[in-house]
Amino acid sequence: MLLYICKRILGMIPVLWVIVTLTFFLIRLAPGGPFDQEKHIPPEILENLEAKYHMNEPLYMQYVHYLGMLARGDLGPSFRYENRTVNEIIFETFPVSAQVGGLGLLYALVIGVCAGLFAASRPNTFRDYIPMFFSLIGTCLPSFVIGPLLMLLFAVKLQWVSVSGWEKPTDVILPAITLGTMYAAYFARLTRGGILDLIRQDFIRTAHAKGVRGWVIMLRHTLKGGLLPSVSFLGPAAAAMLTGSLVVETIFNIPGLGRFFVQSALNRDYTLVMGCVLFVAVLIVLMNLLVDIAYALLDPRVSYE
Amino acid sequence: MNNNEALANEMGRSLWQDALQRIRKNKVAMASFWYLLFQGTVAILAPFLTRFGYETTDLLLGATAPDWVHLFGTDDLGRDMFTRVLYGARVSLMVGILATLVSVGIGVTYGAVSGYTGGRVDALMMRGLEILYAMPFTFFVIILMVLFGRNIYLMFIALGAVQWLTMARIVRGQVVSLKTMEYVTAARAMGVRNHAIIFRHILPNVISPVIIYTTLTIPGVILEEAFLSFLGLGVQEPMSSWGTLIADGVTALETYPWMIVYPCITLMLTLVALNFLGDGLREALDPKSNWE
Repeated sequence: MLLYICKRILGMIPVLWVIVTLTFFLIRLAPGGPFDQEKHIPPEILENLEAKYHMNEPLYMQYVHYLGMLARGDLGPSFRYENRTVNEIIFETFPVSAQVGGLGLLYALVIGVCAGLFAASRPNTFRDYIPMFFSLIGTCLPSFVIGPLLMLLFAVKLQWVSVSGWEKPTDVILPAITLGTMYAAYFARLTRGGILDLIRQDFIRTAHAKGVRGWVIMLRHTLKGGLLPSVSFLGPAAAAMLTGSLVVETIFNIPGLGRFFVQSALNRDYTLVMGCVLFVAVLIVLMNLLVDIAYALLDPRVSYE
Repeated sequence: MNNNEALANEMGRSLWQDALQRIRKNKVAMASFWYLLFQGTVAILAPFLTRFGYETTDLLLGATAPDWVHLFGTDDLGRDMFTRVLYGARVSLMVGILATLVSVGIGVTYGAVSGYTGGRVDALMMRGLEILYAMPFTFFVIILMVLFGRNIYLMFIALGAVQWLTMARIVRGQVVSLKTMEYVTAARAMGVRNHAIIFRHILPNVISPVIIYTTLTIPGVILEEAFLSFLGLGVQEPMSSWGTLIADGVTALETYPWMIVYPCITLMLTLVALNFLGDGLREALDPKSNWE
């Protein structure tokens, strides 16, 4: 297992290298640069600026320089936010996004798995149709629809929480629900499907024949296997939560990584854009690795030895 | 006539006819199909269905609640919301269909080549796919849209290029299992050429998962477009798509709630219908499996 994990972590390096290279040349291919502001910068200052950020060197030298910095774990200085490094900015904004995303994921898992279990316990009855109907609605409710609706109901009409901003601890609730609802719906469908697949299998029938009680079978046999599809969806879901936070952070005016990313792309803040992309890519790859490990722990047929 | 019927009975039914019959019995899927057809027709005929232009402002009128003249009300610039939702449908559906076509084109080709060639090429192509799976694609689309201007054609390509990965995997899996089938071996033994095997024997058997997954890709793409437009990176004013309309609605949420209600309802109905149709097609074309 340890060997497998080491192999996977080593395997991350070429993946990340491809991503860095693609992003690096993609943003430099585009017209415009980080110093095209509205007010004109005198040529001497522009020259100094370019020298400071190595923008006056040929492209391949910039690339080599950037890779060198990355190897030391340094994402470089921000082009737009003076005197701040990309590392600092990510360090400050990521915890905010992580809080929203983590709570959203937890909410999605709990609600989704419970609804799926509930539906699968009596398939093709009303107890199945009702949660599945809501799950269908949920998959078609994008965050930018559900967010404003929640805001209208709970912040404007009922005034339980503040409309937007990031000051009180309750400010995390609405964004997390907004982010998680669609995934709760997916988890519900996956859990239901996974369990219904298992119920037809021989070992479950054997357990029934032995006279094991229904809920014991559910807990000991069906639940573990029935969760597998949801577990494999956790990786993509976590990644999507990170990118989905772009919209949620805009709606609720939260100072997280997502909002900084959109802003940095608009500003052509090269290092910040690259830093964000790379950071998220690392998270996605790590998330997938965790999911694969969890899979091996849950399913004895899967082995990575 | 009697003769014809007898002949038809004797000829039996093809798998496609079976599938057609199954989906005709599925009321939800058929209702979704008719709804989508209606939505598409309405979008195409938009200029003939409304007296207002989608960019004609009427500042004196301002925002009015829905009435008989303005079915969906007007926005704060006095533009007729019914018209804007109709024109928005044009953009959203067009993006949905064209970007999906791009993704199907790339995905099927990549998957088929990888699966059929096999060996080292296959391993390499699948490794490439794994790398692409790790990409924060939404970020990439945003970078593309910001840096190369908010061009609607670029958006088709960018969104399509993002969505093909799963399609490629599905097609590859299918091709790998098909090419070891005995009838393919038999065809090869008879000296049938490679491209003939691919087109005559393998691709027709890949069509049904492709159709199913395509129906399920369209709502994803429509959502993604709405998402970009919502962030202000997609379609530009005065053109409208469902995403921009919802974004406008959010800003006027407390004062003119009808501005967000109608675009949201149309978007949701379309997405629900596409999902139902996709599920129905899956049940009709592939009754044994229940992959998610």
